[in-house]
Amino acid sequence: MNSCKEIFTKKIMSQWILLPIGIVCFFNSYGQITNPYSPNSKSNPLSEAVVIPPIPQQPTPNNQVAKARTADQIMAQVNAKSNVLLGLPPSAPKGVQSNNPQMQQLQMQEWEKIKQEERRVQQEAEYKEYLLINSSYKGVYEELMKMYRKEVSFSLKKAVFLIENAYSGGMLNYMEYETLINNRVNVLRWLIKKENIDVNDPLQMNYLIQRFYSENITLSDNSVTLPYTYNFDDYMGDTDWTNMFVTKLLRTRKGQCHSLPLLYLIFAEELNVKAWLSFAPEHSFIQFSDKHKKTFYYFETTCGKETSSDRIMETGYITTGAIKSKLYLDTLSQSGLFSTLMADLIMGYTHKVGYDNLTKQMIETTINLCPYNIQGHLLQTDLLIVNVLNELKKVGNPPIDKIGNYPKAMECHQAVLNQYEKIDGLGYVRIPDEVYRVWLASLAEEKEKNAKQTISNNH
Amino acid sequence: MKIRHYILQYLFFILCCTACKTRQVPIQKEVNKIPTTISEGKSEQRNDTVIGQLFISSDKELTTIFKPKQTIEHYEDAYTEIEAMLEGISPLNFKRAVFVSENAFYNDSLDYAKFNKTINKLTELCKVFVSQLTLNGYTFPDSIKLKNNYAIFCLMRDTVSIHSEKIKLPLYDYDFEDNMGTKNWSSTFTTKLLTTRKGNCHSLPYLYKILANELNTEAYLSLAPNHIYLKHKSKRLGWYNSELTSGEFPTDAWVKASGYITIEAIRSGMYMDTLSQKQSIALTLYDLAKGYSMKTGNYNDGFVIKCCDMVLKHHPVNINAMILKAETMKKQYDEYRKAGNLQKAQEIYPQMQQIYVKGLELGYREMPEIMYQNWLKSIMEHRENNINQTINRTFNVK
Repeated sequence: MNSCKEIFTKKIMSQWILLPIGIVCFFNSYGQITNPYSPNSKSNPLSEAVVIPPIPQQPTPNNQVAKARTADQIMAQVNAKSNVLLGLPPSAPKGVQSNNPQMQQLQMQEWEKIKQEERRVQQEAEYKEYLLINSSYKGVYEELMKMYRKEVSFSLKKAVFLIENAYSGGMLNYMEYETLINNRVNVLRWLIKKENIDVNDPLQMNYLIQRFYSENITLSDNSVTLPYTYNFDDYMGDTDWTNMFVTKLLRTRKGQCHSLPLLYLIFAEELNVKAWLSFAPEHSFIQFSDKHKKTFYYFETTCGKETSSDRIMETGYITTGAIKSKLYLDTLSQSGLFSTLMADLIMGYTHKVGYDNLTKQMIETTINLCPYNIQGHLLQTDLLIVNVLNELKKVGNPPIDKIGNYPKAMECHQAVLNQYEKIDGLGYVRIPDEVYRVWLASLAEEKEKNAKQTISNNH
Repeated sequence: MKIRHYILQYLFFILCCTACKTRQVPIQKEVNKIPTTISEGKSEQRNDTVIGQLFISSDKELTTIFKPKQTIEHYEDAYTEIEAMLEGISPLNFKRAVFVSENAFYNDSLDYAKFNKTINKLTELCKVFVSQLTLNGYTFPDSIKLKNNYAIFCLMRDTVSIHSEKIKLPLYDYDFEDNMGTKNWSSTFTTKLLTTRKGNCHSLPYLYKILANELNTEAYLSLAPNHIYLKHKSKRLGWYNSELTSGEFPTDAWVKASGYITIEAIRSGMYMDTLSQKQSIALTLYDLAKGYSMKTGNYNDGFVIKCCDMVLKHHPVNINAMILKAETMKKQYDEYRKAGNLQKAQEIYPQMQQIYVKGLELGYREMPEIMYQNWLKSIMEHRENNINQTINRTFNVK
């Protein structure tokens, strides 16, 4: 008995020791669970200038919740119900397979009912998730339009963050993003002072920003700021769409031909320097000029060197028609910039959700903002193709060569053909992936060749 | 009565005999002696001797009765005919416009019927070739158009295969000796090309365009500095270029890079744009003006400027007409200054300046002669890198 008492006392004592530990842990974790991005949070820097629509907490459904269950558990439930219907006790012996056909039929029916119920619950959950994404994207869309209409001040830095944050479900950290940008801008400001750069000379300032893409910069404390480089893995964002993001570029110093030029423009915006975004097939780069804006120079951010229109045209997919219709090699106006930001928003949305009324609205806006932005027209083509597929689905997915038998589907198909004509008329020719990759690599090779040439010339 | 009848017959006979006597038409010094026979040495399997025969008019008897026209009158007649086409009075006919603009240089001594006959022969040959041509993997509805274009291309620059026999017609080749027409302006003529089979970047595309019109297929003249080439459109291949001087299909990038063409020039439509039928005919009016200035050296009678103004009316960014007009005005300005007529000089100077400024704004940059010659060489040397291989595969070019 004494030993039992001792054992019992020891157990209680050990449990009492756990209690203060638990209390300490609880108070240490307090304050780390709050969401800095909620509109009511004081630490949210965007709360003054920009309102992010609140992401509501996911409510728990009133009735059954789709809990994860094992197959055995499901089978047990099915069997129990079937037994009850047959007038048997619910619990059946383990491992007993019923050979009774009536029993089997009842089991199947119950199985179907449970599956349907699970599907319904899953669909409800998916729909609620869709509504969340839809409302957050709608908020970003409206915010971008306010910036375009100058109802709020435009900041490319904020616009880019909003778009990428919407894709990331509101999980990005604006402070981290802003800090990374500010660190770089401070380096530029330090260089301006150190090298006595004229802030009013756009050529000097642009050459300054370009150093972030081409060289290591050693600061006064001997720390080295490394250049941004090109990420050849998944440069089209096929595996992970966030590889296209400026936020990822800032964190990893690796980007691609979408994020690298956008970051350049953000730096230019911070330093009040003029630079323009410009397009090539599946590609964007930077154009800059001097004070007189008579001659324009081309900067390739993927390899950090100046280039020329001839070099860019060597892909072979830039026709004179495309140049005339301002599809490629044009300096993007403010409307053009908004149009491309809108296209980024749409592409993130379609990656997450697909094509719905909001997609349609955003695509129409993209095209209206800049009729010669090919992205809008290509997205419109995708939307029209989705319409055709939907119409075909309604009539049982007949083969495409029988589409003439279905007037509604045929109408949608004709719209697609008309859209192709329109795009052809703009001078667009789709560049094959392999051609693009080879051309991009050749730009980098030329940079190395020129560097070696410079070294050999200096020796 | 009978004797009178005989006398009248005899007099009529005498009249006819004297009228048939040939007489030489006076020709200016700058015009070449027109060859009356074709060169037979190099052509081996050619059966048709009509191809290449020159188009000398046989109606010379009229020149003995009436007073011969002045040069300006020939040119005015040509201008009137081309102007009528441009103003919509007569139907557009590029072939006729080309002939008329070149015939004026020869004082209207060429025969349009013979010229037409040669063109018709070439057209028939193309049609036969088209019927036997196959494209590689091309199933779009405009394959006929594509075949027509390739047939003309082959006829001019390659061997033609008919009934599995390779008929080697002498090519219409590039005249490296006088490609700019500096020795003889008629070296740039399509009529000269048809007889000598040597042409340049002016006459070769013109002949292509004429044949394309005959075959009712799509081909557009396109301007580059000191150069003309052709643009075509296909459903599957998109827009592509034909380069007759080298016999290849270069990409737009190559034409731009090698032609010293600025982006602004492309955007303004000055270079590398497609010329409509009307604009192509307007170009022949420029040729007329240029021919007149080369033949007579006359810049003051207003003919050259009149032609240039008409060209610019229908093709406002035609840089060739702009430059010719500006240069003519410059010569007039120099003469006014020399003659001490400062008032006229001051009037003409701003007009001339305006044209140069407009040209610069549209993206014009002067190409030095040496650069152009280097460019011509590079067309031949670096053809592999900048050729549209998709076109070559479709046409089964080896």
